[in-house]
Amino acid sequence: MKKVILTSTLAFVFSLGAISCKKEKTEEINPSVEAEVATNETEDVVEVNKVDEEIMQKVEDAVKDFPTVKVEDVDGVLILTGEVSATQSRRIKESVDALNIGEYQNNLVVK
Amino acid sequence: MSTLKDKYASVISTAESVGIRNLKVQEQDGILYLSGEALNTSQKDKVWDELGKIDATFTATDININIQIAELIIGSPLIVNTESSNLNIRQEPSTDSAVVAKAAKDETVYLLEQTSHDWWKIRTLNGEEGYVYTRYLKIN
Repeated sequence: MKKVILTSTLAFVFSLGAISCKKEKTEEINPSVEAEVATNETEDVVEVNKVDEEIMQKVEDAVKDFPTVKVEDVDGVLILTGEVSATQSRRIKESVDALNIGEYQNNLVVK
Repeated sequence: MSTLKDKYASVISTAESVGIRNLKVQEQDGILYLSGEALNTSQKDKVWDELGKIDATFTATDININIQIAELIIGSPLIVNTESSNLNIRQEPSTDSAVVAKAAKDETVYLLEQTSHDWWKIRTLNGEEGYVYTRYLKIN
């Protein structure tokens, strides 16, 4: 009877050890996975938060004749700022729209 | 009908009624894209005038109008359509390129090549040749 109790106690202790080992292993794996995910996220963020250089250049070319207009890249969003007349604003939109750049912010103030 | 197509219904119908060729109207990511080809500047202007009735400051970014002038015959007369200043004629199709000549407002120049959407090669009456920004040319 004593033997049986000893055996089962030992079995219990071993199984506890096994669980804690397992736990340790899991913890060991997780940080590296998290690190990898974090690295990927950082890379993605860098890519997303910058307007394509070619697009920036084309838009800058399109507004070059309007010295009051500024083209900015704010966190990956192309933004037009400055004061212009309605005629100028129309010419700017005609030129920028022809570039098909998708989403951008037009913060031009029309006098 | 989507909200944007509703909002800009008059712009779309004007493009149809003035006869913009290959007219495409497509909504994507919250922007209404309207594209096609005009035979002359007046056709294109009518569509933009209609947009001006909805967006007087021309600052809306939920509509993208890309109407280009259709292929023209080489030698077609083009009118310089600057606001007041002379139009730069450049050696290469880029604003970084050297200015080789200038054309006055309302002067007629002649088409040599529709190089890209932005730049065309032209010749003046005096025989000066170079590239100009198409935004400042009018086609009658």
